[in-house]
Amino acid sequence: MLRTLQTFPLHKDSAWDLAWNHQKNILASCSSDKTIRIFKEQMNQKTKKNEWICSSILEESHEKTIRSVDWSLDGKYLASCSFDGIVNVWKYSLKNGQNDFECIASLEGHANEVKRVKWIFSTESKNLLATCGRDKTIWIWEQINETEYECLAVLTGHSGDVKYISWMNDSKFLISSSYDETVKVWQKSKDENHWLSLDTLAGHNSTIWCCKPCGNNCILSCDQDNKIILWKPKTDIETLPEQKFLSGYSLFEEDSEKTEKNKIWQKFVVISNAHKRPIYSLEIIEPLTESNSELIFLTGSGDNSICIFSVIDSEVKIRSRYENAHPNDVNCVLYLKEKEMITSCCEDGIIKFWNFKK
Amino acid sequence: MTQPKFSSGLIITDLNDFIAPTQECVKPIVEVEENTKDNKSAKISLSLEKENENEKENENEIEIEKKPTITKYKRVQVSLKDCLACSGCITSAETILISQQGFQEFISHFQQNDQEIIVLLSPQSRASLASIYDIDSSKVHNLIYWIFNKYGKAYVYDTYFGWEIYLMEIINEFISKFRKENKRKPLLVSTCPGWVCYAEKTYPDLLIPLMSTVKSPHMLMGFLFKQYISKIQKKEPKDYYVVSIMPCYDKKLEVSREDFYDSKTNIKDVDSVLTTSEVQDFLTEYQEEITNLKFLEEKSMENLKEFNTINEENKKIYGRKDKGSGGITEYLFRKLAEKIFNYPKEKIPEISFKNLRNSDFRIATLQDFKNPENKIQFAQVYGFQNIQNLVRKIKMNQCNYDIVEIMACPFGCLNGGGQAKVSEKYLELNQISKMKFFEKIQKNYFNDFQFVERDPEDNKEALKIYHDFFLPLKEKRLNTEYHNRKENTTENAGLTTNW
Repeated sequence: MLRTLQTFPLHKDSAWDLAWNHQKNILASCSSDKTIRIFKEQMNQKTKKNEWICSSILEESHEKTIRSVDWSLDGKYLASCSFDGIVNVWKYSLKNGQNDFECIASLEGHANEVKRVKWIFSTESKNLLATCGRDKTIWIWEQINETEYECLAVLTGHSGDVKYISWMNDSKFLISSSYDETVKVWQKSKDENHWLSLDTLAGHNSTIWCCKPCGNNCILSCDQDNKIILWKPKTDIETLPEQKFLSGYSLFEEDSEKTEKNKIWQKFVVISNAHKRPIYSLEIIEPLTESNSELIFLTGSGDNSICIFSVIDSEVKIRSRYENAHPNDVNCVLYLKEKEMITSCCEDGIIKFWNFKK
Repeated sequence: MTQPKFSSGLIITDLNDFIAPTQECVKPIVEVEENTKDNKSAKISLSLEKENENEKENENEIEIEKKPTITKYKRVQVSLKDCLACSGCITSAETILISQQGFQEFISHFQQNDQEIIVLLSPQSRASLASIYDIDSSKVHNLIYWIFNKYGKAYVYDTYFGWEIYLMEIINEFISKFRKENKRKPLLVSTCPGWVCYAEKTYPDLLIPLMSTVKSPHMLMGFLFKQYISKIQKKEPKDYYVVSIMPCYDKKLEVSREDFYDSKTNIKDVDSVLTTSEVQDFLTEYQEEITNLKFLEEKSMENLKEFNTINEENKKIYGRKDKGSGGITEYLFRKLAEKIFNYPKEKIPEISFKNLRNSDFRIATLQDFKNPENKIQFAQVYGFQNIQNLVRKIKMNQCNYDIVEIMACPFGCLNGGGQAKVSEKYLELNQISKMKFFEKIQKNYFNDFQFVERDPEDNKEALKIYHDFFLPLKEKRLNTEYHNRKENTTENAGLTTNW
């Protein structure tokens, strides 16, 4: 089911993250070598087959490791974030048939390493950008116009480095995972200007490297201790009353008993020891829906393997396992649905493209 | 999970538990004997053993970490002043720092020292305690007077007197300095130590030249007691111990700044800060007495009369009607209408704010009485994310406000991180919602039944002290300095960065 198509040993240092532009069918990768690489498919004149090529390199924009990249949903902008504390926004266009990237904004604010960037559309179809990092905070920016960005919120609550953020149900919810061993769910207020902490999911006992929504308001998370948890809400989160009280008040102490009663997400499935080393990346292939009860997802791990899991109710199957998918930690796996492909990147900087049939 | 105690501005810039002092600290590591007893001065101990070993991205750093044998350097001693000058690690010391200026330390200090206790009570703390104990704001003065007099000869004053001096000087600063140099815009006005710390550490070159240098009200009062009132009363500065009760943990850092300390005489302008919630904790022992209003007989109102912060005729306390952070913008608006735009007193318009994206970023415009084309633009910016947007505007040269009032906490000082804590149980017991409780604090902060607003210049006592004592040595007495603290960060960048 998984077959290597192409291998690119281009990055000179760890490759951390991959992002797929659904609109323009191009891929971005980022690395500790402080570069971003852009890949696109092109017809090979000899073999008459489509092939991936690295078409652009974006350099000299960050002073340190670039930890994460993401494309805006409209496909026009690429955001990159770095250990230098800066988030850059690039405008993508085609000039004379060539990819062109222009760095149009630098967002400063994080005190130090920025670990993840994620775009979403706001309800008014504006581009929103969430960033998180070692300063334990999550920032949400709105793109006012190409060069102007306004900070809508700085979310504090995690007590450690925030490793990963994902949007859920458009911009209504944001989920984050951290070195503090929790996943947090944040709910957007009606006025669209605040995100309030809705729930804290405790169950992992180590750094949570990745958290993603996996359909039906369920959340999937994976950690340093080789554990994967599938969380299910016990109530319909769409009909939750809006939390009336604004965030930011520091006078009121949380009542832990009451908070416990108000918990929304519960552990539904815990998968331990499917990998021998930390699990760094999750990718949802088939999310849960009303008509689909089989969740299919990929994992990339520090044991150099990529696994394909299937979960039906609470029954877990490892559909396939690819040992030594990379010679080193698999930092990110990404599913390119339109292409029936998977792409992955690893600690030694190699990027691979795989053929993938469900 | 515990809530962060410092304001977000401070937490985000400085506080980082991941940075080990070995990597970061400006002080060399000192080996300390295990049985060394800390002396009571401002020393903090930092544990070196905090490091996230699992941290994948830290692998490189951990290698470096392993080189010094950690067991050898168990503890390192750093003074708070070193920490303020550094980019890094005060947070590891957060609890120690707080306990250093806690109530127990305060009491043990008085068991050893024979000083008069000068308590400076902030209106925000007063409102918070009044709401918790369901008593009139003026009675909080009795309560504080009663409790402190258990531990020594104590006097309780309202920091409002300091506010009056502060407001008089802010007007002067704007007119004399900023109005003349049109390019220096905006004037950033704040009494918030969280903001100062943030500005000094993140954008010192950009922001410091724009910042008002007037000392915050309680620092002005502390200085007044140590350097002026002591002389009048034929005493020495060291005969007083000045303690402020503040809605804010960051204020503990403010009183520890080198600018408020005379190294020759070893005198601090304000000796320590207690937060409202620390006072609340301490008062839990006396719950019964408080319920039975046992503290009322004390004649604490006499203290307020000394500084003219209570109206002797109707016993109303003077205060400012504002959102809860001292009313700087409201006052400047009215005063500048009179002084710069020549409004006759009766024609001065009420300030009307326009909210931008949220109620913590609001703006107001004052037009010239005769020539409405001439304007002064005000902005009130509270909360960390709004500060970000303001700084971004300044950086991109798109900030068109003349005066900006800044506070690090959302909703301002009434919502300070050090305010009395309210538990869910308390709310249930008293059948009050969080929203309603906060409204109650706002009411207690400025309630027409108990308070009255006056022009600071109408306080003859304040006006006299301002002219006789403060103005002659203005720079030393009224103004403070800010420091570029970014230097350390960049110098150490190679070491401090974690992978």
